[in-house]
Amino acid sequence: MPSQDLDVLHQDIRRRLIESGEWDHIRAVLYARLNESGWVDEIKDQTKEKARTMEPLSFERLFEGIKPTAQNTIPLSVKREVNALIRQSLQKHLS
Amino acid sequence: MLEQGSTCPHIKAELGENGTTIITKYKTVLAWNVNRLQAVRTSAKRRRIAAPSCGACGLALSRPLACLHCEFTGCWDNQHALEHLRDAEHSFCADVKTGAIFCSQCNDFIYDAEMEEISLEAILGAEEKQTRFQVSQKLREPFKRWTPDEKEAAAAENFVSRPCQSRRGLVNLGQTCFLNAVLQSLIHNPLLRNYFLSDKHNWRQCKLETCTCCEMDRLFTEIYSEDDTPYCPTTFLYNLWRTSELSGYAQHDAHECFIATLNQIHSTSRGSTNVSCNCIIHNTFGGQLQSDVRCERCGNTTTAIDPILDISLELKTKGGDLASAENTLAACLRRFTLPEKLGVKEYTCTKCTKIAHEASKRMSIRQLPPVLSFQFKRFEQKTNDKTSTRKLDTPVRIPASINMAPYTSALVREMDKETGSGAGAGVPFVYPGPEILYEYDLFGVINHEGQIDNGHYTNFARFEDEWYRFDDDKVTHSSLGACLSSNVYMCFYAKRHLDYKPYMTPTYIREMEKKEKEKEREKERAEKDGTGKGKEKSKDKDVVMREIDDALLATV
Repeated sequence: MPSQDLDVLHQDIRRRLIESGEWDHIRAVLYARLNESGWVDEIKDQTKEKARTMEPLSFERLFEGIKPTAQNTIPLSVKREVNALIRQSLQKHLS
Repeated sequence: MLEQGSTCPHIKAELGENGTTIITKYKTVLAWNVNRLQAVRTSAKRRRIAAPSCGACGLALSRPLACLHCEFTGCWDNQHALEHLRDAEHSFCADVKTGAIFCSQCNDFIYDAEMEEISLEAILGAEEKQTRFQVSQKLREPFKRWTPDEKEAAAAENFVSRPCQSRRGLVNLGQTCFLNAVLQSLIHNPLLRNYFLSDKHNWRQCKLETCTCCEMDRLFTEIYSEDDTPYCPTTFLYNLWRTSELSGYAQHDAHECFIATLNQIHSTSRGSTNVSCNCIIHNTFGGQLQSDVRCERCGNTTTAIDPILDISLELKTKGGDLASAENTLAACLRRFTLPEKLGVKEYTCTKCTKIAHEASKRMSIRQLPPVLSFQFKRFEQKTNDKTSTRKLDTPVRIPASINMAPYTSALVREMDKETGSGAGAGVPFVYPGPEILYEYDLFGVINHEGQIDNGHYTNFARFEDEWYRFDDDKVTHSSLGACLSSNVYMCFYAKRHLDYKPYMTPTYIREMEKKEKEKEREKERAEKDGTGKGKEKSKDKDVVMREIDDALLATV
């Protein structure tokens, strides 16, 4: 599939997931799991302690600074579960 | 502190110039998001949810940034929202979820006390309209800000304002760290703090001889005094010795002390009763637990409801070893609300009246209290012999915020039906009422270090977004990370948004008013009679009545 078509497909799917409420549902599961695993609090704590000493304080720098750690520390089990949920939803829309 | 409570000079200028347009837009955007989330959560049978798209790239957005000057919505990831501000020379856009405002001139998110307040009010206002009580279908009582009337304003004039936060170490009076840890977690309880700081129980006016409420009032007075040297809670300890079994110089269990103190505060509170009490303790900690016993033969379910002040949770052990991955607060609560098989002879079904068959019992939280207290059962008693008690030292992971919806009676059974197991299991999505009603924030933790007989209690407590560690007389600034990685024995969560009942005059005040009226009527009658004797009699009666009133006031 050419990349342009892929973009269009991605946009279409994204809109459908948001409009059907599945987007928010998946987000809710992701958040609940990340919160239980301690990820949410860990990222919050690290960012907050960094912000105390950052000069000048900037949201963008803080956000870009924590992004790699945040992405790399998502527990594997959470990734698997959320991927499965996304797949389920996609199958509903594509079949 | 920042001047005028703002990091941004531009928003101040804008608010002065054409504030109402920006504020109206801001409120609309926040209310829209609350309503959108609610629509997502209640429409089990699919209704299409409006999805705004990015004005630049057309991407559908579930959480857009909205321009506060025009109709534009944009995405954060590709910087389109910020590009719009630059290109259109608009100053501000807002994140619809948190209400955070981005200023193009500061080129960052800003803080402004006035806008923060508007955001909180707009979100709360929209949520209140979404909350109906499950039984009466009535709307939730809207939050009303306190605006002092003339009398209150006049009274407040003579007051000196004091900061609403204060921390003071507590001196260890000989193995009393268990008491110190409990007291600090009561002091940092926002509901108790507001109650005692608003002078609801003044020890100078109380006539009880031993009164734990008075001790609490004294304690708050000391904590909030200008003296910041460690305080000796001697009178509190003496009172505890007199009113409970926790006397002597031995180390006691902090949970036992916590429960004993709550009961003592309850019984010395005004208007406390044994059933559906609305004293400060029951209003703060009181919830309801539902236990459903189901006969597996005929399916008949018997429901019992019990009042609770706290929840004790079992830690998971595997063949004597502790399984640390399964010891999170959420996992403990899941186990707590799981159906449990009852022994064959434990239950007799009232319907099929047979003893020897299987039944299962399931606990759930029927009513969530404003403050949730959890205790982890770390002290395992194998037999009735106290010397064989051992301590489970396993770490328990607790979150800074928890959503309690999955453990409530309304949802616990829905959860099985809908998802069972598999991806996304155990995370409810369709709720009665907005999500916020189930959200709780951690404000205190009690730790136990060392072994059962020679251990030491310390605690963490939060004020606003800062954490502090308390070790008897030592108080140090700490962090969320340090608090969450400590060895937790008890933890305390406060509901993020309280819901209110309409104001009702307490019964003891109504009683007093009734008596007052009767007195007046009697007086009138006596005057009508015109006899001196009658007058004297009623006067005597008045005196007696007043004495009774005073005595009543002192006891309730």
